[in-house]
Amino acid sequence: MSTQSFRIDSGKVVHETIDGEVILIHLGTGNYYSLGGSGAEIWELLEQDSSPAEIAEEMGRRHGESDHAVAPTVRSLLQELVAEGLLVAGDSPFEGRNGELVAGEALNGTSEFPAPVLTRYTDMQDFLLVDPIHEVDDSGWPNRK
Amino acid sequence: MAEPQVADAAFAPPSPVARTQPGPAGTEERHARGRRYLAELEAAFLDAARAAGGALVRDVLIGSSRVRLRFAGPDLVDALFPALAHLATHDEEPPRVELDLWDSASSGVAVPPFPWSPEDIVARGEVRGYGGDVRIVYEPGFGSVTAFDPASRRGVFWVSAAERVPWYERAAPLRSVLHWALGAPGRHLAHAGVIAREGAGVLLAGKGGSGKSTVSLLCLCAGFDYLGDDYVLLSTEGEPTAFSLYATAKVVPEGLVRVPALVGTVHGARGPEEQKLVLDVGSRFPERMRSDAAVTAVVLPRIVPGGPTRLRRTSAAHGLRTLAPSSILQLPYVQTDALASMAALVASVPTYALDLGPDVSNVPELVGGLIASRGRA
Repeated sequence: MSTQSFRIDSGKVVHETIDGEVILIHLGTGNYYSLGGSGAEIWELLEQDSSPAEIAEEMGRRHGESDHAVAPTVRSLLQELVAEGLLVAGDSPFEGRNGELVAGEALNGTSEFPAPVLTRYTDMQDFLLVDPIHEVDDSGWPNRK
Repeated sequence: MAEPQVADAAFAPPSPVARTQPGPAGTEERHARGRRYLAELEAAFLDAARAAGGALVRDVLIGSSRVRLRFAGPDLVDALFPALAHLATHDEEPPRVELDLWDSASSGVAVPPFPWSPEDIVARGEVRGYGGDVRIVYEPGFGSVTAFDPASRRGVFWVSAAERVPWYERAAPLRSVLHWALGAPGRHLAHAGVIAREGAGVLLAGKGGSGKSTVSLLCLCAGFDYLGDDYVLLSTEGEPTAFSLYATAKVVPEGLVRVPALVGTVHGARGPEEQKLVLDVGSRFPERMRSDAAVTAVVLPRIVPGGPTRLRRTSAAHGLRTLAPSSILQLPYVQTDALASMAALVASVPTYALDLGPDVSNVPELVGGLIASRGRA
């Protein structure tokens, strides 16, 4: 069993937590996100460089669940954050007490552990996806088509 | 729009210079390139100013920052200054920021050949690999170059001809360089409108089409003071304060029916290829232009077809999610502390959603009540 640490891609991601909700902006893609439910707590622990195992343990403790019960949800959220480019794999693998990553598992909560809610907004993408590549005209200087 | 007549190869668009440096440059080389090119632009500006018989100087006061604009000839004054004219100052204080502006068509002075290739221009027109500590932007929409050195607070704006400056730049000129020149910790350009009464205002946030301009203009016509409908300088150091940048408003032609009092204020009515009309608020309502106002609430307009026009309290997170992305993502060379600054704003003043139904006649009353209660509707 291998586990992986993660870190926030601070070079590309700006984020603020306000009223229990994390607002994240990916400067590279132009996507922005709202992370609520237990996601804000998990993000706070990520900011403290907690490992997935540590996050599951802490979330279990806070919500009266075993870390084994919350681990799949934690790992699924981390996978989703990595897929969105908000987290990157860290440098040092670690030994954890939790199970394998379960790819594609839904972000489910339990009766005591509210599910994380990650909402992505893509309406600003156009400002970064506009292709300024040009056609070079007869004068030699590129003009946008 | 017809291309300007090029009467002399001296100011024809230059051919790209073959790269002498392969691929991405190291940090020091990028710094050197940027400083070199800015120096070339500054020298060319001096030539252009001499050709024009001297520079035309206009100083504006934005917040506490005096920005000196030196124009090589009147053509760019006519294109770029009207939106800023309400901020003109004539005292003898030294400027904090100095910008040189020129065009090749009227001056006869060619722009120094660009040292970059098209592939070096990335999102938002940022020119990668050539700026270093000097920020350089190539605006692909109309082919302008803006370069700015934050250390010296000096910059240059060039365009091949004033008539190439499009309507959206005339309505909100020099956003990029003002963003760089005036930005500081706790101080940023915000994609927002502000209207006010007796020094207290509300900040209207939302992406294009959300109704910011409509709300701004409805309130203007009802006697409110006006700071802008699209971009303001926002300070969150101490009491949140907005500073006016542009005395214009942009509205889609069909939106004018909601503000009939402003019909006739439109200057340079645009053809079908243009998306919005530019309203010269500074000329039509000079007494309503205000340079600054305390921000007492954040208001998020949104069109709700068929619904009532009403104010609803909403979360600070909603306010931040609406205000921050367009403010941060649309301007080149992102200020990464801007999000924290805007978070401080929404944490300090309440946020309201303003649903705009078919009948918007009560918008001034709703917003006025919010201002009068200092954000407590």
